[in-house]
Amino acid sequence: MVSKRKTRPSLVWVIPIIAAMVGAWVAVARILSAGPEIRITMESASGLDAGTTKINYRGVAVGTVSKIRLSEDHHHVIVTAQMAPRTEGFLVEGTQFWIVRPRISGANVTGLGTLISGAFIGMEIGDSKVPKRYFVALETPPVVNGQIGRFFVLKTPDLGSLDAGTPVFFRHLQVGQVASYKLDADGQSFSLRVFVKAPYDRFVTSNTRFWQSSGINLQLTAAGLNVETQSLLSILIGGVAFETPPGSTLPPSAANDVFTLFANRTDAFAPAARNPQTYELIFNESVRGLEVGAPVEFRGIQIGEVADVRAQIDLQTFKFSVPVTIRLDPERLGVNLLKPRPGISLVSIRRRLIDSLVAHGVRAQLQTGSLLTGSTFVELDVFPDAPPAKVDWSQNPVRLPTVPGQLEATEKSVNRIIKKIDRMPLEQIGNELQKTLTDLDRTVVTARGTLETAQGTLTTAKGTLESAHSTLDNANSVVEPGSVQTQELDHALHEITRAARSVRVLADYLERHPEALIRGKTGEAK
Amino acid sequence: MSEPVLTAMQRGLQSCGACGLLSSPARGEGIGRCPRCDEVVAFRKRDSISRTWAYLIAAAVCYVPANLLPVLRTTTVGSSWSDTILQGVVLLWSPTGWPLSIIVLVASIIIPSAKILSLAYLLVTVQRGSIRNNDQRLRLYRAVEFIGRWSMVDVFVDTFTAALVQLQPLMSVEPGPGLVFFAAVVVLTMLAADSFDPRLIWDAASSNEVRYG
Amino acid sequence: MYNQPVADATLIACPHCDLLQHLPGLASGASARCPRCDEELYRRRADPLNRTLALSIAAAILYIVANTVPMLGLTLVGRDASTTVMGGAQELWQDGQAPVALLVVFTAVLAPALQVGFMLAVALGARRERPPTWVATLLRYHRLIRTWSMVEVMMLGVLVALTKIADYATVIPGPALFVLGALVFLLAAMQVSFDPREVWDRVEWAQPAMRGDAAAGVKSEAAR
Repeated sequence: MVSKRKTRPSLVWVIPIIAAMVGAWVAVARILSAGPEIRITMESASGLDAGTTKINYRGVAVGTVSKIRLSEDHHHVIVTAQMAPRTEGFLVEGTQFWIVRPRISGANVTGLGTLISGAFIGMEIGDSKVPKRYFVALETPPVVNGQIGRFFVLKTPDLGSLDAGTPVFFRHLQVGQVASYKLDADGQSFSLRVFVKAPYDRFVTSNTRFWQSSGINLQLTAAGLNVETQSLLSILIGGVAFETPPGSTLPPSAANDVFTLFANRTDAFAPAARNPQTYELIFNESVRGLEVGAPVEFRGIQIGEVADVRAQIDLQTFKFSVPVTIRLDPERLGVNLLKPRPGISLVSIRRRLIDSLVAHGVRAQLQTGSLLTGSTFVELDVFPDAPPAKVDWSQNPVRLPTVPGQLEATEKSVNRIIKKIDRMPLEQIGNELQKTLTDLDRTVVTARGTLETAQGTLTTAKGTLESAHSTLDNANSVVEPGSVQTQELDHALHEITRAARSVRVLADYLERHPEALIRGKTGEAK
Repeated sequence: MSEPVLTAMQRGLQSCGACGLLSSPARGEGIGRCPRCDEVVAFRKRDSISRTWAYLIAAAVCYVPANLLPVLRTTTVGSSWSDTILQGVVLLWSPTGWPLSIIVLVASIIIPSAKILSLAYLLVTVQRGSIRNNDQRLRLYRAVEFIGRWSMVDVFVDTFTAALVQLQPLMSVEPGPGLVFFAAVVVLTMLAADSFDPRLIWDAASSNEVRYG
Repeated sequence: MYNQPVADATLIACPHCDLLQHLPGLASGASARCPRCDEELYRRRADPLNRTLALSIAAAILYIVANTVPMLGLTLVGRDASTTVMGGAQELWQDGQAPVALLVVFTAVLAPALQVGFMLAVALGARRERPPTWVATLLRYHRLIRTWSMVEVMMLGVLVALTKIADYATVIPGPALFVLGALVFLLAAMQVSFDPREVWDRVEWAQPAMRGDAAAGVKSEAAR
């Protein structure tokens, strides 16, 4: 008989107990390791993979996309993501999400790494404490995220090559970028929002000048050729630069302060004419090369600028003249107008100043500013030989006396020389010459000897000329194509071609051995 | 031995394949039902020889495309290539990883062909009524039955490689057209081994023994 | 048409060579082999029902875990991917390999589930004095299921794939991998612990009328 007594539970029951514990542990671990779940609405989920795409915050993966589906109205995509544990504090009002894909925008190409690593979702944490679980993604990554600094507003009538992402330079160092821009309500100018990161933002004071440093700034002015550029980057995509005039000790500007964006550095630092006075100058010669904005100088110091250039014909006398309107800032002459004594007006002091200058022979004259550009400017200088003149203060605009320009003066002096030559007794000179010639004949023989020595001097002179030639050539090569600068450019171009070539070789190699991308070149099997 | 050695069939008894109960069929009937477990019982497995041949030939036919067509297609940035089983074996070969190569070679090429050849040999010997090497032949059958399932290894290898390496555009792997033929070979050889009745091996000897015993 | 059972319950035919023989009483752990072809006819298991029940419960739990958590993950240049067992079959399906996908699902997911499930049910049902007929049905199908349950083959396949991928990516074994490894051993132990004669000797017959005293079985003999 088999006794079917119930023995005590055998050891084998340990096994299912262990299995149950393992199962429970795995289940609990999965529940605990799950953080909050969020939903992000976006326009397109291209590049995103359910279960794979990560959410990155400052380079740390803090969540994974778990589900992707269309919204009810089929116009959006709803992405469900499982965040890491203990990230509840991140998910508040103001937290932003955006997809990081390869992107080319005004200033830069971003997200190239995602070509290899796959797109991911970037994240920036908001400041609020209000928790939030449903978000709408930004379409483009925020230009500045997570950086400390300040925003300022710049006003400019012309956007030029500026765009979101255009760099902002301070002393040729990139310290920020343009965040956004919009056309003002009156349609006359743009408001740019620029971000300057700490600690450079404290260099922006109310005296700071901002200007567009896009590309290479070539200014052909009466002063000559002015080349200015911030960096290679700004040559390509433009830039904004700022600088504070030395000597100012103003406190840093507050955020969102408004500044004017000047077209170039010169304009930015042009001292503002505080009290421009308009005068008129009449020239009777060609004013070719005189442009509006050309400087009016006194002994080299700019004291004003040309405001207007017109032509005028007197129909009665058929004489033509060119009235040029200029704006003067006499205070630039360095005359410090102290607080006028009571009873004497500023105007009368100014008039007396100009009257005395004119009385001392100060006249306006057209001068060629730069032979290179052929631009002309107005020079006020002392001309002791000038015919006396007086300023008529009753006219409007007031006229200042002028003297003819250099060209005209040269013309007059040439005329004088010709007249002089005319008056010369040429016949008599001819006869005298004849007599001297016969005398010369005799001297020729003795002169021959001197000629030989002269020959020698000539050869040395030739040698000097040749070396001068070569120096000239050298000088030429500096200026010509082939000079150091162009050579360097050439060299750079060669480097680029070489680099492009090696990239092509690499691409070719990869085409033939694509596994090399992952396994390394053949021969390195693990 | 006092009794002649007898098989159940010679005694007219049918052995239930599920529960092992011996039972005798109704008069004249070849097939019946096991009274204990309700399973269909017969003397030998139904149409064992012809079914086994059918499975075997089908398996041999599928064996050709299974080895000629690629089983895996790998796509990396800019290029893709396909591998057959043999190419996979060669690719797996490395100074440190050669055991893998051997495993796949054995499981995917040696085992299926050995199975087909062994079962064909068993069928031929049974059909010719051979009475020699019964022990070895039975052992061969047991080996075939045991080893059969392990040919599925490569199917799983390819499945999980493809499932895991989905990292477009860097690298992605897809199963190729050869895989279904290879899976067919494995399934068909398993069915062939299952349909072959090993008792047929000893049947020729048993009838001889009775004749002479 | 139901066959007529033999009177002697100890009479069996070798499944491989059909030799008629009597099955002797066996002590626990002992086995009987066919004298002609050396096939193991029967091995007496110790404490079969309890062990089988315990092991099948454990296998069931681990099976659920193995299929719900990820099995393998990989990282390559910051890209991540992971998969479960079903995920592998899904990928096959998506690539148009429907037949292979179904085969993988059957051999790696369905058959093991049925193997464990049937065994669990049989182990529970056999605790009764007279296990009902559905136990016999389940046990019948269990044999078929057992042939097609290939968890151990899948494990080897996964390990080979893992090693292959580890050449160029960082492979992260998931928890399911270890659970599956344990499951392979558990399934083997479960099969080994099971004594079919425990069930067949006591089970309710399809034709109860034909059941004779012969159904007393071998075990009662051995217990004497």
